[in-house]
Amino acid sequence: MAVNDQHEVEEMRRAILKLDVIHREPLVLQVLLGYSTEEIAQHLDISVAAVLTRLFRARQVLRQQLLGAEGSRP
Amino acid sequence: MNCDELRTIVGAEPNSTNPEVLAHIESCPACARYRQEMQAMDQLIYRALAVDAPVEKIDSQPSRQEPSRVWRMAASVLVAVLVGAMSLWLLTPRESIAAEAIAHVKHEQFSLVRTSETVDEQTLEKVLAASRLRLKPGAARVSYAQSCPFRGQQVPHLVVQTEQGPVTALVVTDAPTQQREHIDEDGFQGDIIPAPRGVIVVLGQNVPVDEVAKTLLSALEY
Repeated sequence: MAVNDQHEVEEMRRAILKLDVIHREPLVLQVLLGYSTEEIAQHLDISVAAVLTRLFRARQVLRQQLLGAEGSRP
Repeated sequence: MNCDELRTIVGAEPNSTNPEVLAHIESCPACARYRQEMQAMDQLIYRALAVDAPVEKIDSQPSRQEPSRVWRMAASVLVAVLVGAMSLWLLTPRESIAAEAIAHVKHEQFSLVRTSETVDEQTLEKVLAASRLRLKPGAARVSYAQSCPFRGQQVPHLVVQTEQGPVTALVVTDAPTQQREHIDEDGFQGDIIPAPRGVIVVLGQNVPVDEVAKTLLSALEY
């Protein structure tokens, strides 16, 4: 893996660890474990709409954090 | 469907195959680009969580993982995280058990997902046996079991699934036995409980830990 590539992965890992648990949980279940929205809703005992909201919010926060990190990089 | 609606859907499900989404991106290059960005970000998220996953396996959206693969990935993440945690441990002054336990759990937050998956008995036995421990079969739904460096020793790091959510337990056999101590720091609540050898640290995030503490005390054989 190229150095910049590795750097991006590290930044993403840091950003994921900063997420609130309510946003991180559905994201991990979806992206890492491949769960469907319905399965996540069942696991977390919340509505499908709530899952979608949390997933959207999680990606929004990650995107902002990564853009911020990119902006502050020398 | 307008662009805002599409971005809301794609922001939650970048690989959505909703016909309206597909129709919209056919005619809207900006939204098509946005979707590609979201899909690329998902690949980055996947790689961040699955450190040593082979690159060829992550070119497309991962499908449901088999448990053994999931645990292999978790182990890969663990290795990277432990290197960082160990470096931090070596570089920083010794803190209280509570503070160190919370720091350790925060480094392995990915283990704190609510799941119905449990670790296989062989793995659990191996992790516990490294500290000369054994858990009565079927005593707890353990979804995560690793032997982790903690205060200079390897300790079993378990995550027990409860109805209210995941609870972390660090079984610290070499620590001096102490009186029960309540923990409420940094968004974590729990207890340090005296055990036959050392202590058990149980931690949750707005999840009651008492039942897990009682279960481990009665079901762990030292």
